[in-house]
Amino acid sequence: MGSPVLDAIRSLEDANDRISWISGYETEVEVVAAATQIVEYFGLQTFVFGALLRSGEREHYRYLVGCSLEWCYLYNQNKWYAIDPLIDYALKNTSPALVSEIPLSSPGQERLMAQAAAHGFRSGVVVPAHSPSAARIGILYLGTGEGPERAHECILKHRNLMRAFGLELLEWWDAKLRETGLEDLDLDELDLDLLAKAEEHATAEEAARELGVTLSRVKSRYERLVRKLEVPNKRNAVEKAVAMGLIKRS
Amino acid sequence: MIARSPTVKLAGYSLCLGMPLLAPLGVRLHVPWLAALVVFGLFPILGLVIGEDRSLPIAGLRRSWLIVKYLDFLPRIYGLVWIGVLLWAASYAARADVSIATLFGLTLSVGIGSAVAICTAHELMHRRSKADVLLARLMSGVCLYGHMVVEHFHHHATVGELAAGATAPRGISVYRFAATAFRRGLRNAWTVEIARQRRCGLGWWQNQVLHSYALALGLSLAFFAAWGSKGLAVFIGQAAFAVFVFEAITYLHHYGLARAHDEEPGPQHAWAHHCWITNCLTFNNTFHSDHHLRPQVPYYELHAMHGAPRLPASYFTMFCVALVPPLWRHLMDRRLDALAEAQCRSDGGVPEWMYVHRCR
Repeated sequence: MGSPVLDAIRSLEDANDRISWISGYETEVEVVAAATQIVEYFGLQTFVFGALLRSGEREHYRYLVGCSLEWCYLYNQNKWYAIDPLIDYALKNTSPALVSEIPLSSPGQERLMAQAAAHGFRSGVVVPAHSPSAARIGILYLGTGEGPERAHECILKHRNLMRAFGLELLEWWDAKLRETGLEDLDLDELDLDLLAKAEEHATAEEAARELGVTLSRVKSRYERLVRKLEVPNKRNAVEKAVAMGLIKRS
Repeated sequence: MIARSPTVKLAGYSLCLGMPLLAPLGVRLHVPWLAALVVFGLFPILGLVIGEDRSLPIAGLRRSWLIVKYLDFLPRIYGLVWIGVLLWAASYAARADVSIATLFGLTLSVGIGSAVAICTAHELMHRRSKADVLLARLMSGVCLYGHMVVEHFHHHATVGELAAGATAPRGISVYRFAATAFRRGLRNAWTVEIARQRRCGLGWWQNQVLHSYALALGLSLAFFAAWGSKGLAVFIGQAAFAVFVFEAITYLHHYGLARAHDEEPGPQHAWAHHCWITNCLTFNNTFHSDHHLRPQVPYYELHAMHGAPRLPASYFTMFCVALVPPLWRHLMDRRLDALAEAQCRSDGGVPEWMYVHRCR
């Protein structure tokens, strides 16, 4: 599917609409095309949105890329996500901030920021986006080839819209991963209800009586869920389902 | 012809909206018992004329946005129409010139609409939308049957278990069953709700069963304040009749069909009679066996299950039969004997004379 053809954004209302449309897009191509125009409306040129996913001890990232692919390649090759000061900031904060104001604490971080400047992120804004589950955090990095004054001007003008933009992108990933998880694992609504009951620490008997399913069916479904999610037991199945965004923490 | 056409059936579902309107129509025609006459007199005859429901759900129905919206909205519209009629009936009853006989007839007529409202609430409570579940809780609360929304899932989990209370043991009368089923249902709902509250760390004020009965108490007071003792009598009377009818329908559904501990629930655990007109008026409530196997499926996608034992007549007729326990036992116990004999034979299953007809 090609990217949607959208007119340039001319007003605040228009920008607000475009942000709210994000949840309706199906593919990454569509989201990136719409996001590029929103970023241009902010007066910036480049962006990366990273969704940090935690599953047990493991962490991994999914990206929406609106910048030079060469920069992404370099970032991954050097495993800069391990020392990225912007990720560290997003994990501990909720407010959008100027990248120039985030302190660098190692020569590795200085090298990383120098390379970022050379690839379209000379200055910029970092926008943390937090979901109800700590298993998923979004980091929106908006950049410009101009100096920090430009980024400062943008954050003053569009701070709240940037927050909304970051949250919409995170929600889009949430929905996308949930959908993919359901399809890939061949789960249905009853499986999700059972996982949600297990998350509340309901016994199999309680789950059966609250969901209107016989006890034997509940037990066989839990066994199937453990198999499908490739985990050793029910508790781990719940942890994995939360990390995948299939269910939410109560 | 009518009973085989899925298209006519789609239109037929809207007939249910006429049920609550029979009460004001009866008053207008000076026949306040009209709803009872229609439901227990005309409908059994119509049921025989039209025949049993042989329609199958239309394949790919969900692709038609407009039809799905119409079908999804019908139970919601029913709820609103019924609540409107209940309010009108209470205000009408409060008039000085209303006789006791009219008051009884009116209450019975509204109560018939309320019994269908419990069926409607049953359809709504199985949906995933929070608004629908909330409407179901409101409707069952108005019928003073608020624990149903919690208890019904317990019933699904324990169908065929005599101890759970929703399966009538052989020989019990509908009156005794209605009283014990209501009591046990309330107890089951309370147990389930208390367990959920404890697990989720909720306070006592977040108990859904308490909410529904608080709503019922509040409404009783409101009816009394607005329309006096006659308004309150209509409110309590319609609810008592509706709850009795619903418990009686549960009695019809599962009478004597106990399930062994190691047996999976199946069509053999519910009686069936697929009267077309009953299905239209009760959101396919007679496809009960299918509903037990697929509780999340919307009413318009349910169909007859092969292997369910057949009731001798439609729900409307059998409800009247159940009111006379010796007659009920005469008709039903021989069917239970035949089922037991068939199970002892090597082929098992339901005897052919008791089969429900297949859909076409």
